[in-house]
Amino acid sequence: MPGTDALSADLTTLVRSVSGVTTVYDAGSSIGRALGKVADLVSGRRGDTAPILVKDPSAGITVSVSIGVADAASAAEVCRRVHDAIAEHLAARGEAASEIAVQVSSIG
Amino acid sequence: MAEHPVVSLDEAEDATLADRAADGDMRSFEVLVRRYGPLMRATATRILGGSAESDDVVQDAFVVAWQQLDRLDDGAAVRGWIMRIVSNKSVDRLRARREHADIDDHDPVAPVDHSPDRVAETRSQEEALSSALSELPEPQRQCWVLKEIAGYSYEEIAEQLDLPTSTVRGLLARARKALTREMEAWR
Amino acid sequence: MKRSKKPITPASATGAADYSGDEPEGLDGHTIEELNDYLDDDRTPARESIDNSPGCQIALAALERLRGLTLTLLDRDVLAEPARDDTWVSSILENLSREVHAGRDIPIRHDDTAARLTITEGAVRGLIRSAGDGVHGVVMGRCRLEGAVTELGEPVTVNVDAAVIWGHPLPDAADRVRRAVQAELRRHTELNLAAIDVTIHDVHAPRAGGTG
Repeated sequence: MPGTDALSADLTTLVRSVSGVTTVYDAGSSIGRALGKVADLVSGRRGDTAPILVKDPSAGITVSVSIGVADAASAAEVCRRVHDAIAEHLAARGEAASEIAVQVSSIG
Repeated sequence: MAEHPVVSLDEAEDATLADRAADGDMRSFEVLVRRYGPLMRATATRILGGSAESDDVVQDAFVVAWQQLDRLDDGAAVRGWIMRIVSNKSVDRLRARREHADIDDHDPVAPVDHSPDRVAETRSQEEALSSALSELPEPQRQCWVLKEIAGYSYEEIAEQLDLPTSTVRGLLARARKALTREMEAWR
Repeated sequence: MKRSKKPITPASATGAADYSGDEPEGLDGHTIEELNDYLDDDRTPARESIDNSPGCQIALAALERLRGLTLTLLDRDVLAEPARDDTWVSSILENLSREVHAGRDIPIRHDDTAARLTITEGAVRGLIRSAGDGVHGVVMGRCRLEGAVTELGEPVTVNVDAAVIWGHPLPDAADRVRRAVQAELRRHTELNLAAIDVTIHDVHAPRAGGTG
């Protein structure tokens, strides 16, 4: 879906820019879930290399992302920051998510 | 954040590496891959009778090992455990081949690849053994490699190759006689 | 699949045993299988009829040579392999899924009810390993989180194995590991730590050589 693809791409860029985030893992299908596969927007690949964004008209937008954290004072804090950044981004577009799930998969 | 261990993981014992990898430590698993990959490849090649599919089989085996490491009770036994996985995967390939062929015990099947071992002048008794192995009829070769190289019991070979145990014993006896004869003739 | 018919090899002109029949002749009534079993039993108990048979002795020697070559066959195969670059290693690692050992999802607080924030158990184990590895002379082993880690605030016990090398005093090492692990867990997670149990399960010297 073009609308969600663009939003997904924007959110991936956003999440990667949050201090303490070193990796955005593929949160997509099990086929794509491999160690070290990082969201790579430069290659133009979408879908399986971005945070899952599911748009459900009745229930609202849901966002889920899996991140790697490093060189940060607190992984829990980074996790919260990522959530807040996503929530703010959506709010700025006049949208709200029914769920924003942020999972820290590695701390290094 | 944290320092690297004073002891390099490259030098860690199998049990430590297996325990860490079972908990998800990719670096430890990588050490195991480097440590046992070549031996696994050699085992697959011996069982398969050639190296064409060995890399695939080893890759499959490592995927299974990664997934099931947390079920290994004794990390120190990881080497034998991984060897058994790659051996079973190799036999799976043999079975798949058999389903598409009609094996006559008395006709040796040409090996999958023609290795330098089969050069007319064998330069050493080691090469003579390799050459003699490649000339065995396929069912004999398989039984012999599974027993003598991969360490399977008669019953395990019977189960893996879907043969009666008595047949396995017979094939092994014939293989042993043929190999002894070939090796002595070389001398 | 190509097939080649191979004629039955005529009996060897060299040794005393003739292998051309179903059983080699010259074994004085014994079979190769019997002799192989005799070797398996380390020739114990001694069997006179075998020990006194020249044909059997020759065949036993042949079987022993075959055994010797067989024992080292794989190791020689490995040595004979051409040198390869590292791509075979990375292609194996690429196929491995991170989720397999991710374990349970450990919650992190947030006021927003739409927020579902978690740290994986796998990430926490990695944290614990790093913390322990940082203690001089320690290589961490297994990590276990015991308790209802998926419930915010529930007490959790951390249970770890550590190997200590080079003769560091054991009680001191356990203490250092405990403190390092506690510091890292408090810093990065919101786990309610009830206890940290450290078992020094091995004292070993570094492996001789690399890939052995």
